[in-house]
Amino acid sequence: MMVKAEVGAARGMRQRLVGSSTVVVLVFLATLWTAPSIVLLVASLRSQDVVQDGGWWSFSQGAGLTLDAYRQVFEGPSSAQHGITPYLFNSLAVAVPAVVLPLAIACLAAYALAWLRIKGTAALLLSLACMQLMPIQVALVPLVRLFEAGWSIGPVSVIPAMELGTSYVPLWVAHTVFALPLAILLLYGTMLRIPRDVMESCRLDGAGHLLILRRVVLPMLLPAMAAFAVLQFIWVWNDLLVALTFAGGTSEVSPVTAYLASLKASDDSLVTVISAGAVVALAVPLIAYASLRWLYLRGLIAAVLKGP
Amino acid sequence: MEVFLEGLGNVGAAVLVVAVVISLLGVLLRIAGLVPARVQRVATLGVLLGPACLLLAFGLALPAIQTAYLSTTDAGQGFVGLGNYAWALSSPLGRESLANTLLWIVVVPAASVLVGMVAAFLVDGLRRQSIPIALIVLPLAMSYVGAGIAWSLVYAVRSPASASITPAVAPSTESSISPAVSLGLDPPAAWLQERPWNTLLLMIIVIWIQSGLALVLLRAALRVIPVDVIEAARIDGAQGWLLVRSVRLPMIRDTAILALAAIMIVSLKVFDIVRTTSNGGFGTQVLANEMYSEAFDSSHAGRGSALAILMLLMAAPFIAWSVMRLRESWMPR
Repeated sequence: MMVKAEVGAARGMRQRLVGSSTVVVLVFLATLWTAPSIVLLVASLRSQDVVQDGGWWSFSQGAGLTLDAYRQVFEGPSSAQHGITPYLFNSLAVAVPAVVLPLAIACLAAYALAWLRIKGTAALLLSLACMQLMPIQVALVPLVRLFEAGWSIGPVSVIPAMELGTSYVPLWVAHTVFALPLAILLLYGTMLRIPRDVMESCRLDGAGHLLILRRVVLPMLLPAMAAFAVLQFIWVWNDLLVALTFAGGTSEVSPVTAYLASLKASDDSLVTVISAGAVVALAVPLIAYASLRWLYLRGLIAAVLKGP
Repeated sequence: MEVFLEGLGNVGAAVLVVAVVISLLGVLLRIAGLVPARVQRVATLGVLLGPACLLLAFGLALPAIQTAYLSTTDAGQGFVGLGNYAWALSSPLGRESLANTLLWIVVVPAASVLVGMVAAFLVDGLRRQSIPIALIVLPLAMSYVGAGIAWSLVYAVRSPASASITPAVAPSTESSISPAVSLGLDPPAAWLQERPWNTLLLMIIVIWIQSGLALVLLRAALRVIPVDVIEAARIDGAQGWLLVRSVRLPMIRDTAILALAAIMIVSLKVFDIVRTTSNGGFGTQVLANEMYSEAFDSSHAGRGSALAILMLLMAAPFIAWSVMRLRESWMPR
């Protein structure tokens, strides 16, 4: 009783120590952190003429808010081009396989590593940890050459030569490869938590691996897979390096990040249009983040700790 | 409209491909269960581990070795031994990239973890924690391209001569204006052109982004400190700052180091920010951007590969430390 009362009193004291100064500092921090995003939003809502003369911050000619920039972003800078829409779809078309395929392949591999008593599992896991932290720059040039030149054994073309910019495949493969190490490590850690008796009784019942995976393992892995999926989706959607390297800059295949980068590089006086483009591209991960925030945070922590 | 339909078609094709691949894997696994018992284990392992091993071997391991080999060649001259590395260490651009990257991996993690730590402690006593956390972590969900654009606006300078956001080519004149001037401050004429401040300003962008990661990690660590430890310290008379310094800080030390290492690796690879703001101009070049520039913009595959290997070497200590730490924490069954 004594202890409870003390704990209660201590907690009350703790809450009182959190005075108004803490709140003020936090409000300041939170405002500071949101400021650049608000700047982006404001810049996207102004009219290009006002911005041209005085910069996005000048209000001497009145607020002049307009959705012009957004219209231009969707229509494209000139009538011959399509605007941002094809790139948005490209980002989605790249992201979906880039999220699901690593998870599927990692699930199989993690299952084998966790439950099938393979010699050298330790070594494999450690090399996975190394591969996950390696800068992907060390793989870029050879991979580009591989896709451009293809690879055949004799008359059989194992990997057909494809011009970068005509197919999503290089992007899918690249994203999958780079995400696999972390995915395997995370799922392996989660898989270890499945009680051994559950697994053994399944095997004793004569269940095949496919059945075990579908009925037993998958449901238990779902939270971890969901957390990784959110993390990977936001990562792939926001990625620029793989996009620039493997998408050849065409509107057939390039994701929205590459489009924005080229838009800014080619003519960065189009302040309002570029800002509007950035806001549009931001909308998808923002919605994902806002609605699935705790899942995303969970994925982040797991990714850093390399365990569930 | 047709753009819309074409886009939907692309996404549909992507979903189809995923469905096909997963079905294929399922079918193969089923077949592996039906082969004669003698080869069953091999077949099963082949299906389970095969895709991952093939992808990683041919997609990461082999290319890494090829890059190491490529780094000793030059497009025009064939084998040049360590020539590309000599170039990296002696040329102005190579040195600048190396020096800047070193600066990045020291300053950004330290600053991010500091901010994250302060925020974590501040947030800890609050009742409604989710809003400040959500706002500080928000930049993490933003693409670096978007962040680069947003901060280019913040750092913008309007010189009457040029209309661009970041006057990369035209030097700014005395009559240039900027948000800071409108606020009454007196900043340097063009922030992103002044060295060494421009690198610092770019670093601020990444600190802005990565502080959220530090906050999330440290807040989780703070919550794990057993309440009895805190209460015992309180009963012993520790309060406020003393409590923080002698009890709470040491207990989150490990997580702080972890956060430092994670953000160090991110800083080592910083590419998008530099590329979309200054593209390495005015002394802001970093290794990742220079690697891309050499390998793909200038087709100097040898030099680009050497820079990639240098990045790997710089990452090696962190990788080694991470791997050793993992080894301690879990042993396979």
